[in-house]
Amino acid sequence: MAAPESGDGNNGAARMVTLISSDNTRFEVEAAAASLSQTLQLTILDGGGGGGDGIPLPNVDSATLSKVLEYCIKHAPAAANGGAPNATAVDRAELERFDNEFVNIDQSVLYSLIMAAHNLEIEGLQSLVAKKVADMIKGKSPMEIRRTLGFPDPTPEEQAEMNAHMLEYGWAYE
Amino acid sequence: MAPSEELTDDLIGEFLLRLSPEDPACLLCASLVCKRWRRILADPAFRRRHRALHRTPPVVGFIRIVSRRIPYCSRFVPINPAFRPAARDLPGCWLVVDCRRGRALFVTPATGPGAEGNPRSAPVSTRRCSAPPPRKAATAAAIPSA
Repeated sequence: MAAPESGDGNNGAARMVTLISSDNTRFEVEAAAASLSQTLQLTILDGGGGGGDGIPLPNVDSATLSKVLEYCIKHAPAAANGGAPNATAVDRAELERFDNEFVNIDQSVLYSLIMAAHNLEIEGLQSLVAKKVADMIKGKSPMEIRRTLGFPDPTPEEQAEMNAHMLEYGWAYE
Repeated sequence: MAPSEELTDDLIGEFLLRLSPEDPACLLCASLVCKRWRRILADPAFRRRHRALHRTPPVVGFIRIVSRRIPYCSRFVPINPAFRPAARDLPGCWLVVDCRRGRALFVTPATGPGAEGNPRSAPVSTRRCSAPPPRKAATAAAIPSA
């Protein structure tokens, strides 16, 4: 999916940095967008990632990184405004719509994003993805949760334990 | 691919943290998914973070005194219909005398005053302790947990 370009939100000429995924794909993004990652922010402040160099990210593959950057590019202008005190309701609604669509993805991508957001310390993305998984669990029985999240079938021991708990706590599901 | 296989405890904790305390049954269900989730949820550090994230704990219900005379009768009345401990689960012949910060103090003629339980989990865990028999006017107070 092509990442939408953001036109403004930077002071002066936009400084670009290069990020290199684990499978050696190079991504060129505005420093402001990459700086949403606390981990990258330090390197960028030290002047890294510019020119021919580029910052290697051995834990993030290109598919995940492109998704992460799509989020960063979209959220960078609001973040640059310091939580966007002058953002209009329309801007906020647009970001919310983007977020909802953004996490409407395959589960394996979701897990890759959780790990990438954690490694790169992108707080907003971490929280967005965690909320999505929590929503997937909400209102489901333990067995349904296992199925939804692709757990293997419970072992007889696990099943017996679950049954015993259901006997004791069954009232909570009535 | 199960998240438990590739995600660390910290990352699983991240999404379990987002389960709302407004629906306690949801946290209970999550604790039954597997041993690992139960261990994460039962960790005091997780409970502290969950409280910090969701601020004020929600009122899940209240305890209504049905009869003040022996045999006493108190009943848990839930606010959220999704969280509905059966009325029979509140011990019979218990009179609630105080309630504070999620803990309730009951008095019962069978064991003397001072049977303490947690109204949010009264059917699950109750703690009893014996106390000297009350004089004319007994007073009791619920001691909030730390």
